Amino acid sequence: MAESTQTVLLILLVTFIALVGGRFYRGRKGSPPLFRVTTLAYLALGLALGGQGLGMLEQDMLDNLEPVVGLSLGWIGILFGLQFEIKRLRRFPPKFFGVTLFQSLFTVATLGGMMYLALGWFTPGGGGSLWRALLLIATVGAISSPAETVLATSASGGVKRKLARLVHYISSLDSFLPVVIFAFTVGLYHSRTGGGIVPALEWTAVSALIGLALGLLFYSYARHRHSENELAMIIIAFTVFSGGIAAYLDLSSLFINVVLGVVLANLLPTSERIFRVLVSRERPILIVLLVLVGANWIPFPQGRLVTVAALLAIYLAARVLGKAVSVAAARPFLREELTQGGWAAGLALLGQGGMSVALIANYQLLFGGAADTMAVSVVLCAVVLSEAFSAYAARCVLAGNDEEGG
Amino acid sequence: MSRVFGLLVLVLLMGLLIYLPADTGTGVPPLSMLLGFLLLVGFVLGKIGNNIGLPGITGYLLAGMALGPSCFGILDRESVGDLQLINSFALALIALTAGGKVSLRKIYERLRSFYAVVCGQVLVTFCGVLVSMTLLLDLLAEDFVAGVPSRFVVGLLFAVVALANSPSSTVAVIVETGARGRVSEMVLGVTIVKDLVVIVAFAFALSIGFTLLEVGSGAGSSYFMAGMAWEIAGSIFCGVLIGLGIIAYMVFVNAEIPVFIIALSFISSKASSLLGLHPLLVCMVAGLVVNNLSRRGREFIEAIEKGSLPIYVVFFAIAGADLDLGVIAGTWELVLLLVASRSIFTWLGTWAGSVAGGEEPVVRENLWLGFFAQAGVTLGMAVMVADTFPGWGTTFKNVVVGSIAVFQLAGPVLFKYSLARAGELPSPLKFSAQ
Repeated sequence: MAESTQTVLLILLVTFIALVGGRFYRGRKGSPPLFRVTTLAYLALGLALGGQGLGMLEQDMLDNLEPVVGLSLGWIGILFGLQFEIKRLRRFPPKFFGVTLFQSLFTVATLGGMMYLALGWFTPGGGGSLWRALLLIATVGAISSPAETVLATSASGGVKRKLARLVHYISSLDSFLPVVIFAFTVGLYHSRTGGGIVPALEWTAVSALIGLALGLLFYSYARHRHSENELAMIIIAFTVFSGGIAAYLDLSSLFINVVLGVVLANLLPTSERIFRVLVSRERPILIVLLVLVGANWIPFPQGRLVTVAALLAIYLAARVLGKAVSVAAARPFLREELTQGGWAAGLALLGQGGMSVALIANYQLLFGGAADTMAVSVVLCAVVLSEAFSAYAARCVLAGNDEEGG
Repeated sequence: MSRVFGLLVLVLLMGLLIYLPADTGTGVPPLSMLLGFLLLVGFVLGKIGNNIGLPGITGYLLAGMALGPSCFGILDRESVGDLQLINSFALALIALTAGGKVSLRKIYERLRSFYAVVCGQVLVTFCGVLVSMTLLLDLLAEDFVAGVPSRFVVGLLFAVVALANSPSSTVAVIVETGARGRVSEMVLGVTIVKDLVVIVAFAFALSIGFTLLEVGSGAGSSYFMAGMAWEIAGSIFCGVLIGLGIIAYMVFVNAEIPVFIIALSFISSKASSLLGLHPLLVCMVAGLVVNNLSRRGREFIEAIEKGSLPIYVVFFAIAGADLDLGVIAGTWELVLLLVASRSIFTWLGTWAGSVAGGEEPVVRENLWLGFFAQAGVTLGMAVMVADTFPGWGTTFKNVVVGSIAVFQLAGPVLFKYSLARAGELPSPLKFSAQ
């Protein structure tokens, strides 16, 4: 049996076991969403099978699974891009979009600044790779996940209250800027042009144009009446194809598919159906992605446990600071939403989910599994910790604003 | 019209990507890019086929042929080989669906007719093709084989190959059209049973070939028979086990069905090849067990069907790309002879069987049109013959590949036509009435 076959079999088998185990784990009633470890479980599985664990998933095998990663990245990218339907976004006050962008930018800057100092201190002589690692850390850190708000407000029948609505809006859309910055980073370190701002802008433009072209093509396919099965077929074909193009040209698959999703959201009247198809099949795709990312994970590069812990602590502090200060700074514009002061409202945005993992996976795919292991380890640890406590933090923030779900 | 335009733009984009960037490293497009392109082109051609009344799989096959090594060569032999992993996964799912579509209760209710059709087809087609190929070989291709024993062995192998049908094509047409009725049930049931018969018959035919042509040692023949016995018995046993496992999963776990389906199909197909079993048979038996022993199992088959389209597009597009059309040019007379004799005797055998079984006129007139498609099993046998009998074995394989190309394209079209004639296709009016 070929190595790639063994890899696929192994991953599927492990995923299957994890899913069955997860089924029984979730079966317990009444568990409060205060400490969630789903991401950690699948990452740990990948870690156990990867080079740091049993060594069953070697780097060569992981490289052979490029189409699977491409499919997953495309899936998550389109799903995110579909949320940018201008008609729907207009239902929200324009200040929401402004706050989202500001929050995102501020967090990127805060994380970038603090981690630049920290990385310079702990890992001197990083050179070009330091900047690349820094951009990864800053972009992943700026991303929030809407799942935490949903969990925090689930008992109140959905996101209906004003702060919850704002938090849900920001956390749903604030990945946009990080994804664009990531595409720029990819251009900056492109293997064929050797870096530079102008080539980076050119490669970002090329990515956007490919996304646009594929979006229009997708539109020409999907505008006819299709069954759900046919729509799933079209989505799979386009995600695999765009993932292939991205791999061929060394571009960000995630960004290309986000653009594709934005085009669809604004051109296709039935984009809601595509969104439903994507959501209904998202879970297995995300799980496979987590296992693959976990397999490439080196938790403590060169045994530097203290360094990772210190960087993680600084990263978490910078992230909390970035989120909290950015939202607090926007308080004058958010009087209706922040009825009870709202100094700490930004803490409701601490969750990290699929998009963060996708960005890390895209990074590993483009720059190799062993690239910037320290940075990857720090952001992965942060994703796990954020997932564990962010729902609780979101609930506390909403409770402080008299919006607790119950 | 916009689909055609979209297709042209897609082809243009692919062309630009492949030919424009001169400094793209190796210049070899990644597998995912080729696979995505194949899926999109296959899907569009399938829809265009649907619009003119053809089954979708004809479009998928044509897409594969057009992009494959025989035509434009966007997919080279190596890429097609790399796609076999996905192909084996797709085949497992299709076989599960095929088995899951067969109701043993319905077959039991009209067992006599079922047996009659199977026996009619096996006897008439086998004997007819054997005689015609053996006798006419000399006229059409004098230098093919020399001597009566050799001609007989070749005729025998052609006859066995002519018996085989394609369960995957059959189930693809049934799932796509949503056909329900006597003809679709009979065609699928008979195709699956014949698959078993063909494996046994092929084992015997090869053993006769070993003996008459004195290929290998005497022990080789018995070793081969033992291998075949293990393949059949082991496949059935393994299929039953997998089927029971699926039922247990559906009853006790019933979660994450898509991941379970993917994992199961990979594992069953790879385990089959590791144990020397027949992957198609294993999965068909599993589907049969699942469908006939548990209501929850039927939900599983329905779940596969719900997400089946990408599987069919991938499978048949790869099958199309894998067809070597170049071989037809060199052996067209023999291909024509095999196609003609198989068609005539399949019609005759099915007609005789359905008359003996007391089938209604509408079944008698249309049933035979469902037994033309041929694919993987037939190709597998041809490859085995080529490996076993160097020399004429290669010509044999080329003739069979040529006839597969013809039947694979014509078979689904004829089957859909027969279903329409028998009134088994759901009309839009019937849907709205429901």
